[in-house]
Amino acid sequence: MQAYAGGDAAAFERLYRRHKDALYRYFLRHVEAADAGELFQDVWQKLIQARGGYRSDAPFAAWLYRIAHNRLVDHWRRARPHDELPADAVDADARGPESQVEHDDTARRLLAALARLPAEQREIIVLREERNLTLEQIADIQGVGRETVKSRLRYALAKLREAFHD
Amino acid sequence: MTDARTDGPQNDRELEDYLAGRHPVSARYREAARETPPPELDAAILAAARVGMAARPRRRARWRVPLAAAATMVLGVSLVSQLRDEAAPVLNEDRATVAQKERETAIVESLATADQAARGMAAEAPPPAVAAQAAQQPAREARKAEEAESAKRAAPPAASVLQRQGTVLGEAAAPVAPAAPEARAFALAPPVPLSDSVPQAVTLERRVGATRELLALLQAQDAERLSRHLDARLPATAAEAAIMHFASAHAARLLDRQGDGWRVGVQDAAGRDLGTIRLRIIPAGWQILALSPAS
Repeated sequence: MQAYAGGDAAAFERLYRRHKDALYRYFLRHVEAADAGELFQDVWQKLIQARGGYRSDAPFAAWLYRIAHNRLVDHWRRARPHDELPADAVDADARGPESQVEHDDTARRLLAALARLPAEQREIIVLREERNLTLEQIADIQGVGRETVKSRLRYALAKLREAFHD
Repeated sequence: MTDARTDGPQNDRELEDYLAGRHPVSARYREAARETPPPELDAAILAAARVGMAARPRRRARWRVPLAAAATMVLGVSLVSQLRDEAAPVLNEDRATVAQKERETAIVESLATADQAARGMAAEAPPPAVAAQAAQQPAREARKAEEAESAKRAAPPAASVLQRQGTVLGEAAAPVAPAAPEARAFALAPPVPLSDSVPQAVTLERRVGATRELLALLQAQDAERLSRHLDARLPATAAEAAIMHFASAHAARLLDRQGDGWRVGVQDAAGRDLGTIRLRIIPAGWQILALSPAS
């Protein structure tokens, strides 16, 4: 990111290739495919515009997902200005055909169970699985304490475990 | 699903296992997570990054307010024109079927509307941004004759109106000169009441609303509020990038319509082609569909 901010155009492509799939899935886990594409594009454009403001003391992934988290919250607030964050995401099976992948039953069940988690619990799982962010980094992204993230993660794991025992 | 208990040693072990990468959820997730962004999205973002390198990182500058006013005019003109276009009976149908006569009528109506707005302006001193917009205008009659002649020529479908807009865009970036009292003021053309007669009123009303808001600010001649409006409506989106380019390039031409978007050509101050941008209108503003830097 520093190389890109310093004017190295090729550095952006390397950065993009490294992070694009995980970021795209981050949005897919929270919104419908059409919105995911739009939010995904917005985040990269914001990054392009804000490249001068990147501080090297923050890991790039944490910075990127902080932008993504804020964009997601903004999207929800615009869509439902009087609601809290949505409890349920879009079910994986209810997405558009272009976004559906051929999952076996286990994978489909996991995505369905994930979609039923409250958004803040689901986001922790996604950030851990996609980018292996630390609890501290996730806490910073969500604007809560580390213990809150741990508690949410416990709940999420318990619900996912139960989903597979049903 | 039963209530998930989170206390007790089992949950502590489960959390430890998960954080250590030993939890079955991780393996299942890796198996499930295979989606990737569409290639066209990759191409658009990489192109945006390349073009973005030419622009300096985002910073509010002193030129921003007059630029915002100019850009708003450009957007306003384009939005109004698109709405007029979309409100035609052939909404969302093949525009190649639009009769030549309708195109001529659209141009004539546009001129008439502009003339009407210009007459309304004549009693008031135009604000600086409007003066810039109105600068370097030849005699109105000469222009009208030229447009009428242009309309008669066999142009590609729907190209006449769009090329007309392209001319306006280019003029908006022209050097400032004393404003003629009878200068055309396309940007001040009042919005056309389309929503009453358009079948897709629900969808269109949102766009019409956005346009009315823009034009209301424009007609109030409040450059500062225009700037804030742009900031609020188009934050950190490709639209702002397009406007930034409009600023740095000092020239932009709306070229034609492609698919569900509009193709805009961008040049630098020396008149060199920087490339083209394909935009579409979304409820929140504009969205870049593709960027094609000049080779």
